Amino acid sequence: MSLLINIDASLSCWLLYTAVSWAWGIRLTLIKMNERKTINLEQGRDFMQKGITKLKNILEGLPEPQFSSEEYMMLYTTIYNMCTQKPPHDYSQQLYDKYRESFQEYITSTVLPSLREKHDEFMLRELVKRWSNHKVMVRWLSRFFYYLDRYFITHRSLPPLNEVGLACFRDLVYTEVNGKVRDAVISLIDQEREGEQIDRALLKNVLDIFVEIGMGQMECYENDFELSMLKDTAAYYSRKASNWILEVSCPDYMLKKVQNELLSVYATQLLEKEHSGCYALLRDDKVVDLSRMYRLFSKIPQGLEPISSMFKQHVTAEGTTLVKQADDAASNKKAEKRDVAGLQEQALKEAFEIFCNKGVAGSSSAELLATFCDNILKKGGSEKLSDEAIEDTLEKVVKLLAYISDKDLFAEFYRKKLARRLLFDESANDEHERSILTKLKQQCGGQFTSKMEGMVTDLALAKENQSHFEEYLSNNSNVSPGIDLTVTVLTTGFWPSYKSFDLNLPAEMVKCVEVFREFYQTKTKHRKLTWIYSLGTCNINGKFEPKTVELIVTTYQASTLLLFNLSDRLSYQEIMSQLNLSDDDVIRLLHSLSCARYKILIKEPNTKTISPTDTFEFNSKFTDKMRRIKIPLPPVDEKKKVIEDVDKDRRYAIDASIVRIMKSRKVLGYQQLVMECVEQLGRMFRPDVKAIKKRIEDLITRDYLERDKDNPNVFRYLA
Amino acid sequence: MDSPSLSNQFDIFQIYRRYCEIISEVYASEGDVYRHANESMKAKLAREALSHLLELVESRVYKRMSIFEELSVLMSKLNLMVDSHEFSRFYSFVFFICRENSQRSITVSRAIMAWKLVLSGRFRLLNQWCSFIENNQRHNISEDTWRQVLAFSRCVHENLEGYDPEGAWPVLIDEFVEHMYRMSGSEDTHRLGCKCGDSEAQTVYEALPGLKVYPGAKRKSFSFAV
Repeated sequence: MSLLINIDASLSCWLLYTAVSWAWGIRLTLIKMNERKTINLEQGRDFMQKGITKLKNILEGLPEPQFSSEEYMMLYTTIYNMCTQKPPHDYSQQLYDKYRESFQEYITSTVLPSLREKHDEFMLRELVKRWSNHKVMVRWLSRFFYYLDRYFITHRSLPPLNEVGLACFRDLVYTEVNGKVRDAVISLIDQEREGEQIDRALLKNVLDIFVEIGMGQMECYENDFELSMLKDTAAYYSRKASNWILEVSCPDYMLKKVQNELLSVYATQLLEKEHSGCYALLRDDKVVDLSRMYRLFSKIPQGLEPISSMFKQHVTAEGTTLVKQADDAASNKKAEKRDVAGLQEQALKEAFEIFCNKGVAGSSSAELLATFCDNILKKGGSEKLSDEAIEDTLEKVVKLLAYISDKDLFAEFYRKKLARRLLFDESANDEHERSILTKLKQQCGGQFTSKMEGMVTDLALAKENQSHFEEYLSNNSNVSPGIDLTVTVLTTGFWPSYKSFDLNLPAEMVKCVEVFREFYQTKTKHRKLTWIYSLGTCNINGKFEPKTVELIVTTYQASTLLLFNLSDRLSYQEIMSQLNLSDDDVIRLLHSLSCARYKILIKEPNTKTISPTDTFEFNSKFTDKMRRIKIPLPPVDEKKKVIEDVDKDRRYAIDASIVRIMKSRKVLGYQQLVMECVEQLGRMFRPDVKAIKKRIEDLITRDYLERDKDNPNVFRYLA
Repeated sequence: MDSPSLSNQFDIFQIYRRYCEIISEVYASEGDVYRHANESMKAKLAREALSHLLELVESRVYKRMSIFEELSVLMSKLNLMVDSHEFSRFYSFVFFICRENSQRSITVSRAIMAWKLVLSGRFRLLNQWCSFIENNQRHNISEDTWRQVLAFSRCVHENLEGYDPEGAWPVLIDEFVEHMYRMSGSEDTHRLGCKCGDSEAQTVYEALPGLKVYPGAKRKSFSFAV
């Protein structure tokens, strides 16, 4: 292996030398006129043979020094000379033959015997090694004989050197072994299907040979390998399938993730299985299994047709029964027909919904969709799309949302991400923001987007407010806090709830806050301002000994750093009590300042984690090649909080819905109450029956409802 | 009435008698045309009367016995075995008397003690129930749950037959049934498997996951609507 790497390394040098030798070639041509002695065929051949033998030895791994550039030059020059001598001493044809013979000789004497004595996986390994050696040999020899390619071969329209070399392998090796290779590969694949561990890299290399040997054509791969492979696959799975079909029920069967092949062969049989086929699934409302069936069969051409016809039959049968049951058959029939069409759509929708609402790796689809939107809409997101493409994608996202049942969860995640985009100026384009909101509004109603729209509007208002503030400051130069201050005033209800702690601000910032409060008083007197320091950013100048660096930090980080203006050394406990923050926050802050990339603070002891016994000191030696650096503070994982918030909101929503229903119905059976409640709330989320039950119980304790004295499954509304 | 001497004389029999009076007043006029109009008014009055009674109970400074000892004395004097209606009333009274500091629910520990006292011999799964509550329930027991436990104890068999998974049982009871299935599933599936011979038990077993999955519930109501 290491040998191969060496060869490649020296090869790349050689390419460089080829260019040099070209120049030499010209000089030699000039010299040739008077000084050159004619080389006869025997001499030339012997000389070439030495070089070729050396090359073979290297390939075989025998001890042999690498080619030096002089050796290479000599070989090239000899051939050059032998080709440029006047007839009858022009040996081009002979050299061309010699080139081919070298391969043939090597293959018959060395390569084939070594392949013949090996079998199965070992044979495959040998083949891979031989093929890669052969390619190296072709590259080398065609460099030695390069001059042939340039004149002799071009003039006579012969196959180029490279092709001749590869063809030798194809004609001598490939034709002999390809059958054996194919069988070995297929048996490996079968082994893997049975769950065994196989060398996939080897497999890939072997298959690459099938592709490369075609020299740009896929025929070799297709005829010599793929055909048999597909046949074998079909045979393998139909064998499996006929075993399985005896053993397991239809849902289990589909679980085995079989390929289309066996599905289409056994489709009818499967679908018509009496106890677990399509009918049975439809009858028992097995939506999960049905949706799996839908997905699997949708991959087969016309695969869905039998299902849809069965479905139609099922719906019709159901419908007919219902119609029979109904008293007034005549009036109901029309309605029924409409239902049939509607139901079919409904089933497809339901199947799709189930698919959509499966979580991926612990994240719900609602969250993933919100994250996806964020990625598109934020600056420097992973997607680089044109405006139209963005519009188009957003349109699709909104359509997809129709199938997500936890729309409230999406809304909450979306709002969190939107808030970050807006507040940290990460939103790429205001128009796209508004455009997706319009789309969401159309689909989910105004209530769904009112908060988000409020957020976008808030930000526009905040900009206006800021310019007023700046104007105010310039008119009242006596109140200026001495620091540039930008305040974004937000409407509480629109934005996600943020923890607002009573962080002890540094005196400089307290002054800012005072000044702004005064200004705001002049505009309105009826509003209460709550400062959310956790969302703020600060640019501060760090006067380090080597140079001053501007640090972009959060307000929390800035407050921490400013503590060190007053003391040289602070303990964890001192920092915590001076900032008035929780342990979690302090740990996060100190970690970002002393353990992460930029060590603004020196921690004692110097470890990677923060512990309450640590002490900190300002790192006056700190420097960086940039004049301005951003020190990131990793955000807290908000997922849990979002889910909790949504859960809390859901409780209120369920309460409200139950009370609304009971207020109009006064007395209602439990099942109907649950049903109506689910229906009312379905537009926003799919409430869990257990959650509804809990809310009913809670409403009973709070005297909104009571159980009927005679029938515990009936509830009464208490005015 | 508030004087200690008076309330000290108030024994468990008197409290129970007074409780029964208040309760029967509420239900006296059932079937009345004006029932609905009157009902809320009456219920309000009864609630007031009961909370007043509870204040009296709590103001009893002098106690010879714990509330549970008193209850077992009361129980031995009442003819509860013959009359299920009488027992229901007594059962509700137990909840009432167990209330503390005029709270509307009772603590888990009190509820368990009370259940062990009053339901012994009446609830086949009493031991399992109490240990389940002890291990899994942290919140107080509401009056509704308390009452439904009695209904549950009356209709459920050892193998959980008689429990209707679609019924409006309190969540705590649903969870208990799930817990029981899980236990029997892990310990001896066999016993349940034998029971599955009759279709009744099977439907209960299968319908159980349906509690969480909505489609099952919808199906039922669908046929209901037509």
